[in-house]
Amino acid sequence: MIELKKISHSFTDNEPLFNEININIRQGQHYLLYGNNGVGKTTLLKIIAGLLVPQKGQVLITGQPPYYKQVKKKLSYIPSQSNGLFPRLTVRENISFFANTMSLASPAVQTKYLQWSDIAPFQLSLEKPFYKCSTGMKKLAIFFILTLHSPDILLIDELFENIDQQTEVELALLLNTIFLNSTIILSSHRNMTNSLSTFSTWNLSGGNLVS
Amino acid sequence: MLARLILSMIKLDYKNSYYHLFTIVSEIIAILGTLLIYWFTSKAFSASVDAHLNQSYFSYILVGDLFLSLPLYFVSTFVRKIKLSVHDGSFQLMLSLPVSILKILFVLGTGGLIRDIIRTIITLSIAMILFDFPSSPLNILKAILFEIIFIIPFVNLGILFSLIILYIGRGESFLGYLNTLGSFLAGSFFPIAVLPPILQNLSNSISPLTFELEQVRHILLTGTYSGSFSIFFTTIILWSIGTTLVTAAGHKVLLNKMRHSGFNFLITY
Repeated sequence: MIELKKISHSFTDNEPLFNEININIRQGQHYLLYGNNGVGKTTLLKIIAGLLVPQKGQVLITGQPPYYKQVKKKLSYIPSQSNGLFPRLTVRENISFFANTMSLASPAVQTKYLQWSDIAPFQLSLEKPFYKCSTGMKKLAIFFILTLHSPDILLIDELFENIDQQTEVELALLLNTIFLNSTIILSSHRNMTNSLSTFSTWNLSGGNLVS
Repeated sequence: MLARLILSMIKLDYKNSYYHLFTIVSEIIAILGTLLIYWFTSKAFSASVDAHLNQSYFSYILVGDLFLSLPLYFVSTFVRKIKLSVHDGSFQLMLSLPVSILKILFVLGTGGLIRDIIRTIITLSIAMILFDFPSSPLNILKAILFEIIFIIPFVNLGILFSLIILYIGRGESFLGYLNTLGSFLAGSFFPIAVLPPILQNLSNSISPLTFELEQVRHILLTGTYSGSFSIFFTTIILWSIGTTLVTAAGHKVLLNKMRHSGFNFLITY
């Protein structure tokens, strides 16, 4: 489903970030991509999401480049940022705004609300103006919005930073239930195999991926 | 779906702009203040320009100011809104949505235009009631409708300028000069008949704003367009097609360049 063919990329001439990375990922596989700061986790996710063209190599998702319209509809790149929603709107109003931007029908959005009904911090944030939400609540709201269109592929950057342990467990459960059949690549600074037991791990180090 | 999106944009802009009763009161004071300034300006200078006009100087400068600000919204406010959305992270977030970058720019940049249109309607209505502005509610609606149709070339230009500024990271001051040049050539505050012939020719040939203001003034006064329908219609179509082609080409080139830089924007204050 996702093919990375000989991906090489560098931001400086003499320090390659990756060196000929080859990956084949099948539908429904879950991966945890961990590594230290600056090893290129975000860059690799952006390359897979089609937001960055690699200097060498090719990314194909179901046989097409990731920035093709049909492919873009199937994937979601969730950046690590906790800002970006409209601060004076409540989380619910933000959700409505983004759902309208994506031309999503109301019943689909209501179904999503039901799926997330057990995530307490998310429920608490719904009627709050976004600027009054905690960092964890903001990240949950962003995650909710960027998965409203039910993507087949989730590329998630540092979701578990600034999130308490209880929410971490609930989110891990969410990934293993609602998104069980989605392909997930989740980046993190730490190896989180305790919370994400169904995830295979990749360690990105020295420009290479080690399983 | 489109209606729901437009309503969302209005709500977003309303919440951002009128978050306190004071902001609504100051908006009304600003409208009345503007009308008073134009009223006394026209009293002071009408004797010297009336010979070049077929209407009162008050209605000339009022329409010039209000209806120039709508297309020029896309050369200044639109681009500034996109810059702000890069600063607050909403642009980067929206890049993750399964929608085109053109739609993202349109959604982020256009919300304020609806408020500007509503403000224009309110200002003209007050001018009609309190300042003898010679128009009618129907003519105001016709003028707004014409404005919405003729705004397509400016939406295109706003999107193109935004993409250029996103890519280069600066250039807003250049748009300021363009804004000034557009206002000057369109004759928003003075009749273009007072300009030297070469500038009059330039004004009529290269500035869509001159055509826009001439038509809107005529529609507000008489309820119909000025000149022949074929020229009126052809001008709108040509400007719309021309700017659409240029924007489409610019969009393709700039989007490709942005993909190679990973959509990392550096926009400084």
